[in-house]
Amino acid sequence: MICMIDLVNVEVNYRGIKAIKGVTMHVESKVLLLGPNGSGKTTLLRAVAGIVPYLGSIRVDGTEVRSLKGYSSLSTNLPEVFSVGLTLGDVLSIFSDIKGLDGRRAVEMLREVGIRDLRQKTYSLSTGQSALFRTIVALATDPKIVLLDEPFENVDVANRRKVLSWIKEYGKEGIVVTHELELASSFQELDSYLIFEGKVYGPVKVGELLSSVVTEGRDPEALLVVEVEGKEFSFVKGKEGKRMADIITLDRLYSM
Amino acid sequence: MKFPLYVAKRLITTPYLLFWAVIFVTLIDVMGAFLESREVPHIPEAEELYVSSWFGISIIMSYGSAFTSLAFMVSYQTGSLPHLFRYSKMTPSQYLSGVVLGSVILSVVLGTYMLFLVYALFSSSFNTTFLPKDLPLAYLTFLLSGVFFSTFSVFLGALSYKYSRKLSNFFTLIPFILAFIFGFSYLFANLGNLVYINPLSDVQVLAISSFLGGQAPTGLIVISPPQPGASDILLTGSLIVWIVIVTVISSILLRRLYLNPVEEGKLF
Repeated sequence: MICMIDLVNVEVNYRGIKAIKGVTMHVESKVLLLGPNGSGKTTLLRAVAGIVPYLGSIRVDGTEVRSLKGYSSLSTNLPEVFSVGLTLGDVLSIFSDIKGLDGRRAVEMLREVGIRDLRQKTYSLSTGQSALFRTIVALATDPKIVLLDEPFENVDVANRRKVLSWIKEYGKEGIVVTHELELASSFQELDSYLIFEGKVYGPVKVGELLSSVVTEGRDPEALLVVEVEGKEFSFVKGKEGKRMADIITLDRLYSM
Repeated sequence: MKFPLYVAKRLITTPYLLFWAVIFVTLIDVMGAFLESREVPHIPEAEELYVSSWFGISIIMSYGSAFTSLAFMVSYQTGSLPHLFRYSKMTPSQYLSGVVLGSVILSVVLGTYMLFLVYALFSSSFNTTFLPKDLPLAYLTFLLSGVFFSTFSVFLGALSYKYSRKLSNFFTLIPFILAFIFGFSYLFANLGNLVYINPLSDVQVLAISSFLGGQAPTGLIVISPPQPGASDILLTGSLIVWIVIVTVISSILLRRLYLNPVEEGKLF
């Protein structure tokens, strides 16, 4: 079976820093990418989205990303992609032309989250509204593959539920990034990858990961072993220790 | 077809563009019609050449200002282009075509306004009716100028984006700077065959030729022995060659774009 997103030994150097280090991932379905702030989650998505150059190989639906042309079945909510268009209406109009966006559906979804005035400039939206707008535009193109970067960032609780249901509804495959484990618990059945300091670990089922405990050191029975600031941490089931679900955000691993 | 219309709509309704490309140039033309014109001898040929020269200056200044705005627009938009060229129906050629088509609409609108402005101001100042003698050439000039300046703006926007955001203000002001230099150098120097080499002189002299009815001189300074007027065919050919060169380079640059954040242009 062709993996929809296939990364082999991918490196991304960003302003002299190796942000992604030798990542190999084979994504055949919708997966979560979990990691603390600054771990490289967004950089990895940018590389798959064709926004930053990379070393190694990234294939989407069998084609190397560097050579891809006209593949409309992938959508993302990364902010860099939305610099074409001054107002919300402009973006909807342009994306309906070039990405097959369902304009009516997008407007309905925007109304559901309280965004009604399409004459607003995109930069005048609040952080949460901007995240909602970009995520809705990405999902309303009815993509086969989604790349969603922190779709819940600064979004209020009520709208988070809506976004969660839309993420489950749209996109058969793709990568959804978050650093909030509480939100990850809504995707128990999905596979997840962890990313720390530019290295990716996994996959492991989200439900199994959240019910595991984190212990320092390498445990032979671990679901996953990760390296953080030179220390190894094991995610183990059925043992005493700090539950993953109680950590809330993966940044807390740095203080363990 | 939505993207070209979007570009045209945004260009025509941008207030900063309207100020520099329309109001500022109108003020310059008012000076040309009512202040500078006092030195012009009361000979019909001299007055006609003077008015035609101002038409050429108006066109080049207006386009130089308008397409500086376009260069800024492009340098902001280029963040999304690496993604959209891979993951949407938009190709670099389509993007460029969209920008060009939208810009041609703008250049024809601005050119028509300049025609009317020069006619109104200078006819009033000299108490003589000055109408362009070759209107098809005038509109061909507007069209080709729109194509050249828009591809040049995309080239400059992409260049600054790819190599140095810190120099982006300089890159994007180049159309305006060059318009000033070449626009006014026509009044004080005879460029001779150099008019066929640089595209801005092509635009200016073609505009002058359309007002005069052909064979515009290569400068307002009279040199001895008298030089033949510029060939409209060579000027048009030179402009087309420049359009092809800049379009090819722009297409290559667009295909090789990657993210270079706007914040990289921060100086302090």
